[in-house]
Amino acid sequence: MHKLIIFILLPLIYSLHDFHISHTTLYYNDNLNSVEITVKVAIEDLEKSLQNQMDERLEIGTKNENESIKKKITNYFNKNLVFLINDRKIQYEYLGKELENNLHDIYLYFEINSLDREKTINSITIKNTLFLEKEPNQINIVLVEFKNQDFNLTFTKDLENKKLTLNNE
Amino acid sequence: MTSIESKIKLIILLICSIYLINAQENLNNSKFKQLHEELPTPNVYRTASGAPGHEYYQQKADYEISVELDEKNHTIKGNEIITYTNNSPDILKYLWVQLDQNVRAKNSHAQLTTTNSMNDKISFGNLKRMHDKMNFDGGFKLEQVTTINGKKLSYKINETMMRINLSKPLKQGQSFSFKIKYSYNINDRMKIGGRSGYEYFEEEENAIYTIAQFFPRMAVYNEVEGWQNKQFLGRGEFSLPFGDYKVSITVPEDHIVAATGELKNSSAVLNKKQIKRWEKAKNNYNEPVIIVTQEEAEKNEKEKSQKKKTWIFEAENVRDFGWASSRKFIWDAMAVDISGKRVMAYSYYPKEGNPLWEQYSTRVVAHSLKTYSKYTIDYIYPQATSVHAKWIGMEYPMICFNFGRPETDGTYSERTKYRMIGVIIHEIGHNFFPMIVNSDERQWTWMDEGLCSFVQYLTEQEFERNFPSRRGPPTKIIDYMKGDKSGIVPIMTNSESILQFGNNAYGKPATALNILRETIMGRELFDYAFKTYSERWAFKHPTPADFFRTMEDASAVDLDWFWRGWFYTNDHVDISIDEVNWFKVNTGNPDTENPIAKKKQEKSDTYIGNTRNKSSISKTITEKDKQAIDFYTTYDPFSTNILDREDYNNYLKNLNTEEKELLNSNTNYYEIQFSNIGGLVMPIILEFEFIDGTTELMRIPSEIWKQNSKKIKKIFILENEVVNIKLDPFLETADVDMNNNYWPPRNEPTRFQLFKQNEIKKENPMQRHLRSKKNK
Repeated sequence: MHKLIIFILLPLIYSLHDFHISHTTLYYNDNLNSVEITVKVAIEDLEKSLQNQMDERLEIGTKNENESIKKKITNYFNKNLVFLINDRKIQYEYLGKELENNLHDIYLYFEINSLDREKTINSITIKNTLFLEKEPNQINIVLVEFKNQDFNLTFTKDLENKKLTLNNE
Repeated sequence: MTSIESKIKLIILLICSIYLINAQENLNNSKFKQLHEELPTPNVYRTASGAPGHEYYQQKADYEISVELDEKNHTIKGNEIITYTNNSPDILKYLWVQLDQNVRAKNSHAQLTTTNSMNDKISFGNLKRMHDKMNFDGGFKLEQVTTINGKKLSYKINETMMRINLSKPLKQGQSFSFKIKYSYNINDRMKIGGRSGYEYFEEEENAIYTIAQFFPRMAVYNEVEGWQNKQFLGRGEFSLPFGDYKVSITVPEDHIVAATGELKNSSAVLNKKQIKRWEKAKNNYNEPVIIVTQEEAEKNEKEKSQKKKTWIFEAENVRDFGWASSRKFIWDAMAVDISGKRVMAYSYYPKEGNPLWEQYSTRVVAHSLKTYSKYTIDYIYPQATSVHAKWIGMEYPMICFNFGRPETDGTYSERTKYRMIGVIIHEIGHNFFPMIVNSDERQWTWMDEGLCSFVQYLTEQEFERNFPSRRGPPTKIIDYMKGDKSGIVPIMTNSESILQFGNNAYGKPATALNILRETIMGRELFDYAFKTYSERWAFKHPTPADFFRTMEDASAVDLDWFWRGWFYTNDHVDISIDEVNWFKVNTGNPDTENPIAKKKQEKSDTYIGNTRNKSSISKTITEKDKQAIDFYTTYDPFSTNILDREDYNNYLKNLNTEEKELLNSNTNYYEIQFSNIGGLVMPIILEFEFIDGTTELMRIPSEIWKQNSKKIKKIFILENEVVNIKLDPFLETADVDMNNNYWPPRNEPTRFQLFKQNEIKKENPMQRHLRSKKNK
């Protein structure tokens, strides 16, 4: 087991905030044969989880933002948001991020564009453990839109994996 | 049991269940079914109009408390006299007292009922926190519970509740006074969390104490719950009767104390310079005046006096009491004019809060008091205080604890600033809900959090144009409402069982009220009704029904369908334009209609065989052989002859002038079919764009769904030809899927696609620019 370094203990914020919810949308783009991934998370949750992996203080989306953030986001998501297409692990690429204008949330954009056009997609398996290492009550919501088939999933500490069987007719 | 018997039983069971299913279907499941079955029957205490009834009563609990803070051991020792007055018509054999600190006692129900599981990803932080929580020796330690004369009282503690057994029943109008001597250990907020507690500054050996739930408090007794003695499990907050408080707080001599109520012995605890500055602040309505400066606070920090001082505060007609104490406090103040009455706005913060707190806290307090007063009732208490407390936002009467700490180098991010302003507005706003409009938080979180968050949104937008509000606008709730339904419960869910607390109890009700105000009722009707609710229930205990009923009673808008959909279900809004059919009147005039029909036929698509035959068949039989021709060979069905014209003229003669006008009006009829996919019925707001570039807006109330809430058709009569139709053009209904809101159909780019289009752009360049200028 690798060692975790803790910098801030998790605050229990009453009465005003409940962070700890992420929203992920997976959209299959038929024209490009790619999967567009949008992840909306609370900035604090992301900062705390990434801080775990490094020594310095993070401030995403501010002028103090660390230069190596891109690598850290990629590493963290590769570990905690895993996609298997037809039971094979798929690499995806980090495109960038965007602050929501409420200053609470941040959108992260990823894309899978290494799909083989010849092969039909019969199943997608999702493993989502985002922020669970810091917040056991984290709820991760995932919406999958694949050729007019919509799936609405909720991942928690008790449910980290889910396999979807897709209909290609 | 014989097998025949069991088979018969099974058959009976089957028949019963089929009957039940049928019975379900045969019930009134209309979205517009009145709420009578959900709401309690009106009575003499609460009327059908939503106002208090003619026999409404409430109990009173007065307190005389003296506490002493031991900053070495982080403990509180207290003595209190509670005087409880029974205004109910009922005879009370016992009283229930709340021991909220017991939530932190070892093996409390709050700890036992928290579900958790071990996994390989648990961090040191979480593990340590679990240990710290388990090892903390929390909870009230009661030394004596006696009558006013010192006679031992019989009592029984059940977790966070204590029953005082009365030797003589308490009748209507009678009072009972009793004494409790107690102590408890204060929790380190940074380690185990909590609404109150202390933050320790290790390097200088100082703490900021933000203290609440520090004394045994009376539970509410009324005709709704009897005794509201539902255990405190940590989430469903408080339910408290009103009363008057006299509180003496003994702290180290160099501490500054902030509290609910008014300071009664200022000359004993403040120096002359401070009193003079305070007097100056009382007449300064424009900007805060500093009473304890940063320089003085920094000097205090180093002193560590061993002597003690007692601060005395009094508060009338409040439901609770909170206070804060530290030698680190800077204190500033300003006067606020609330309808001609002076209210003081105070802020207490350590140097760590500056420069943000000095610039904003008190100003935001003043602004919040004014805005909330405008939408609810005039703020009646003499003061409102904002205390700096890292990480939390927590409210008590006249005092609240708020986060927002700049960096150690004195800079701060935009996020820190706006969220600090947001939290101060919100917590000051709690003075109105639930401190004055005193709803039952143990039962319904939304009644104070939802209403408070709604007015918070209005207050933020009045503070700064386009303030980055988190909750209020309909688009901000979409992600929540379209999510997996197994993770969403209706707003009308008890506080402890709510999933996604912030979205459910803050965001969704705040959005619902905003939609009522902007779209369903309109600002004028809404504001009057919302104010009426606040006026009716100020300094009283309202229930959800009182709110629902008042909003309808004061506006003449039947909102049962809205409460039913938005508050009693977890449905969402998704309305689609299914199809649009265009009709024009057939004038019947053969000279007008025949050419149109001919053109239409010529324009219609042609079978490929016909096109090819045109060239490949050089001549057909009828083209070659004249003998093969008769009338029908050359007959043009679109031609007009004299008889057709005569028929038309005869038809015209039978019409009156109005009918003739209609016939020749050239009007367009659009038949549009809408589907309700999400489940929530909502108004249909349409923007028509015409061929000449002009637009027209049409607002159709939700009642359009009253007989069929799934699919409806409606005809729109328009002079002009339509080229585009937009449903919900101003994003006011929280429709989760905009792709089915257009005719002709169009797909909105997703956030992802928009981002890819603008990929080169750096995030929030304008905000960055503004900040860079500010930070120069």
